[in-house]
Amino acid sequence: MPINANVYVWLTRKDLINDPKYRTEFKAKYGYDLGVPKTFKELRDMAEFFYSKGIYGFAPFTKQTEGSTAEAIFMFESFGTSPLTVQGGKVVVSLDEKKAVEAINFYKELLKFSPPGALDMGHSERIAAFNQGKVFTMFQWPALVPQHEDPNNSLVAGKIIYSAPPVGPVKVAAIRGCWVLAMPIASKNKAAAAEFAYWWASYETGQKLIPKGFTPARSDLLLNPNYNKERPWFKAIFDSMRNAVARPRFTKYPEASQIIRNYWLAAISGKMSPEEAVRKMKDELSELVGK
Amino acid sequence: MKANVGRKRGKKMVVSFILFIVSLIVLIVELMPIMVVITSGFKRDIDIWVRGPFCFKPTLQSYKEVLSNTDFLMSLKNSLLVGVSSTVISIIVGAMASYGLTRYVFRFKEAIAYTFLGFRMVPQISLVIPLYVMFNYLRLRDTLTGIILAHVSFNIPYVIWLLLPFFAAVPRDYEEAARVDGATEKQIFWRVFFPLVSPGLVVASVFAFLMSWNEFLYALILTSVNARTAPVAVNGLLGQYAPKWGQLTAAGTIMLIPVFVITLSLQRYIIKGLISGGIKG
Amino acid sequence: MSSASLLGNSKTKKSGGACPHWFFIIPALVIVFAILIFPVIYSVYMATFEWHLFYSAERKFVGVGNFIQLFRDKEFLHSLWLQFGFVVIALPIETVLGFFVALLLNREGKFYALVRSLLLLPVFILPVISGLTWRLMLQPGYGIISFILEKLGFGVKAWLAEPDFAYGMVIVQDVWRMWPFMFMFIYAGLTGLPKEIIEAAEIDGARFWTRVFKIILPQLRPTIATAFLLRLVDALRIFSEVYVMTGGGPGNATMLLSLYINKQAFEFFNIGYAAAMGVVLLVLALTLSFFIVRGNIQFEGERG
Repeated sequence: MPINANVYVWLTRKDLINDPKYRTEFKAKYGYDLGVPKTFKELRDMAEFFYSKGIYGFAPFTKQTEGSTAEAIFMFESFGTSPLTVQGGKVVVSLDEKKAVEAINFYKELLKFSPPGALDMGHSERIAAFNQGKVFTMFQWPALVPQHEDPNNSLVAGKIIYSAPPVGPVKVAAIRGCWVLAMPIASKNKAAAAEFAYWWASYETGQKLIPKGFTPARSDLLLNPNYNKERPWFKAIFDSMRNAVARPRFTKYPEASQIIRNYWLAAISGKMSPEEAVRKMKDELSELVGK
Repeated sequence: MKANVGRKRGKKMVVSFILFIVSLIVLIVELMPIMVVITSGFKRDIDIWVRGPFCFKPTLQSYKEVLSNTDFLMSLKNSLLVGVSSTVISIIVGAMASYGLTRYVFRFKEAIAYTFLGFRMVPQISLVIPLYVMFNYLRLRDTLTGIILAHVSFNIPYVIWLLLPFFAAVPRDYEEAARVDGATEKQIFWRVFFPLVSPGLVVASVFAFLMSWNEFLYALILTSVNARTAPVAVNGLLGQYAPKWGQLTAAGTIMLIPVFVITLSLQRYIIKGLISGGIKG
Repeated sequence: MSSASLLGNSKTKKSGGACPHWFFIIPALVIVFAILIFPVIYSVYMATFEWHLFYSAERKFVGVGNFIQLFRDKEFLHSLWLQFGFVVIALPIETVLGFFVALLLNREGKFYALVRSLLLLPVFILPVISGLTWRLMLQPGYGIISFILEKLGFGVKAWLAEPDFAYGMVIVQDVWRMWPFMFMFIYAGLTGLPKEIIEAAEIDGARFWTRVFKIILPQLRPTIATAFLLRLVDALRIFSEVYVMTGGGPGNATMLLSLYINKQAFEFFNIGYAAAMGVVLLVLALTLSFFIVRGNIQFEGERG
C-alpha cells in the first residue's frame, strides 16, 4: 500500500498568467490565451514567451540522481514510449528510438529557457529559483510543495496554481513514486503489522497527520473541501494520480536507472547526439536485462 | 652625502609603505570568506537570496531558528562530548606511549614508533569502509562510543607524534633524582614527566580537540540520528529545501567560536606544536 | 634545550619491574591495533571480494579481480587524474604563496604580529564550513563572488554548475584555506634560523632577491620539504570540503578520489570494490608518509 501520495504535480505562476500586459502580448504573438500550460506545445510557447520577458520559462531537474531518471521517463512516456516494460514478471527493453529522440530534443528546447546552471539543478536549486520568483512553471514532488507556500522562504507563496502535468504528444505522464507500506513475507508479527498499516492509511489518522505535512493517498482526503483552500495541490495530486506512470521497477532497477540517467543527461547536455545516446541506452539496458 | 642618506631613507619608507599595503590586502582578501560566514548568520534565510550580498539588515532571526532546532543542539552536544572524550583518552594513552617510546630502550622500539607515526597517514576514506562493516557487526553504528573510537584512531597517533620531542627533551637528571628517591616507574611518569611536558600537553589537547570538533567523514558515515555531530548537522541544513543559508552560517559561526577563541589565544603554543614535530632543532 | 634525538637518549635498559615500558605502550598499542591496524588489514581482505553491502552473505572471492578492474575503470582513472591535477596545481601555489608571505611579514611591529596571527584562522576553520561558505559565495545571483564576476562582465552563471570552473573553485578553496598553513610553517622555520640569515631576509633592495635564492631558500629547504610532504598526504585524502561544496559534480567534474570511493561504497554499496580503491589510496599515502617519518625520527648518534 502507498504510505503517501507521491506524484508529479505541476506548478504555474498565477500572477504571471493573470497579468493583463502579458496576456495581451502573448495572445498577439501566439494566437491563444495565457493559462496553465495544458499541452507540450503550450508549455514551450509560454516558456519561450516568459524567457523573452526576463523570467525563466522552465526549471528542469538534472542532478545525477534518481530525479533525472524520473524526468527522462516523464518525457519518454509523454511522447509514447518507455525504456523498459515489466510484463508479467518479465522485463523487456521497449524503447522506441524515434520517439525517444523527439522527447530529448523537446527537453533541450525547454532547457534553453531555464535558469543558469540548468544542467546541474537539484531540489534546492529549483526550489530556490522558483521561490525567488524567477521561474514560470515546473514540476514538483508533493512533499516539497509546502516549501513554495511558506512565506518565510518563498516570495511566491499564494501565487501558484497546481495541476496535473501538461499533455505530451501522446498522453499525460505524471511520474508516480509513492513510498511504500510493505510487510516482509518473513514477518513474525503479521497481524500487528497489518493493523499498523490499516491505522496509518485510515481517514482519521490522515486527518491528524496532514497538519504535520503528510500527503495522503486517499481520495476522500485529497478531494476533501476542508483542505482545498490551504492545500490546493491536493486536488492536483488526485488529477495527476489518474494519469500516473510508474517507473519500471524490478530487481536490477538501480543499475537500469543509472544507465537511463547517464545517457539522458549526456543527450540533453549536448555531450552526445540524441540518436547515439538512445541507441547506447537501449544496448546497455538489453545487456543488463539479459544477464 | 647627506642627500644620498636622505634618498636611501626615503626609499626605505616607500618600500615599507608598499609592503604595509600589500600585507593589508592579503589579510583582507584572506579573511573575506570568514566575514561572509559571520555576516550571513545575521541575515534571514530569505534575505540572503533575495537581497544580494551587499545589503545588510542585521537580525537575529536565523540564530533564533538555529538555537531552537533541537536536532542541531543535540548535535552540538554530541560534538562537545565526542571532542572532549576522544581528547582525554588520546592524551592519557598517547602521553604514556610517547613516554614509553622515548625513555626506554627495548626491542621493536623503532618498529612500534614507525607504526604509530605511519598509520597516522591512513586516509579516512580507506579506514571508514572496514570500520563501517565492523561497527555494524559490533552494534557500534550511530553510537557515541563508536564515533569516539573512530576519532581516537587519528588522535592517538597524532598525540604520540607531537609529544615525542617534549618527552625526549627532559634531561636525564630528573629521572635519576626521582629514582634515587625511590619512586616507582608510574610515579616517575605521573609526578615528574607529565607536569614537565605540560606545554606539549596543552598543544596536543588543543589539536586533538579541534581535529575531533572539525571532523566530518567518520561522522557522516558512522552516525545517523543519535550520535550525529555538528558538522554533519550543519551540512544537513542544505537538502531538499530552499537553501537555509542564514541558519547554516549562523550555525557555522557558533561552531567557529571555540575554534577561533582557542586558535587566537593559544597561537604561540599552536605554532610551537606544529613545528616541534616537523622541524629539526 | 639539549638537542635530544627524537626517540630519547636512554642507553641502558631500565630497572624497576618486568619491562615497565610495555605498561606505558600497551594501551596505545591495543587501541591503535583495534581501531586502525586491524581495520586496515580487514579492508585488504574485503578488497578481495565482490561484495555488496546488503548481500554480505553472497559475496564472491575474486582475489585481485577488483584491483585489475579498477585500473580499467574509466571513472576511477578520471578521479585519479582529477586528484593528481588538484595536488599538482594547489600545492605549489600554496607553497610559493606561503614562502613569499613569510618573507613579506617578517617584520617587527604590532601590525605585522597581528596579521600573522589572523592569518592562522582559515587553517583551523572547519573544512565543512569552508566548503559551504565557498558554495554560498558562488551561488548565482546572491553569492558575493558571483556578484563580483557578474559586475566584471562574466554574466550571470551558476559557477558551480560549470565543470571546469567548479574544479577550479575547488582548487581555489583549498589554496585559500591552506596557504596560511605553509606560511606558518615556513615562517616558524625562518625565525628559527640564525640571526644573520634572518637579517639577510629583510626586504630592502635589489640584492634582496639574490639573497633570498642563494642564502635563505637553501636553509629553508628541509622545512619547506616537510611542510610540502605533510600537505601532500592531506591533499590526497581531501573529502569534506569538496563533498559539501560540489558533491563531486557537476557530473563528475570534481569527483576526487575520496569522493569516488565514497560513492562506490555508500551509494552503490560495492564495498569490496571500494575497499580495493581504498587500499590503493592507502598504499600511496603510507609510501609518502614513510618519507616524512624517515626525515623526522633521528636516533641516537645522528645529531651531535
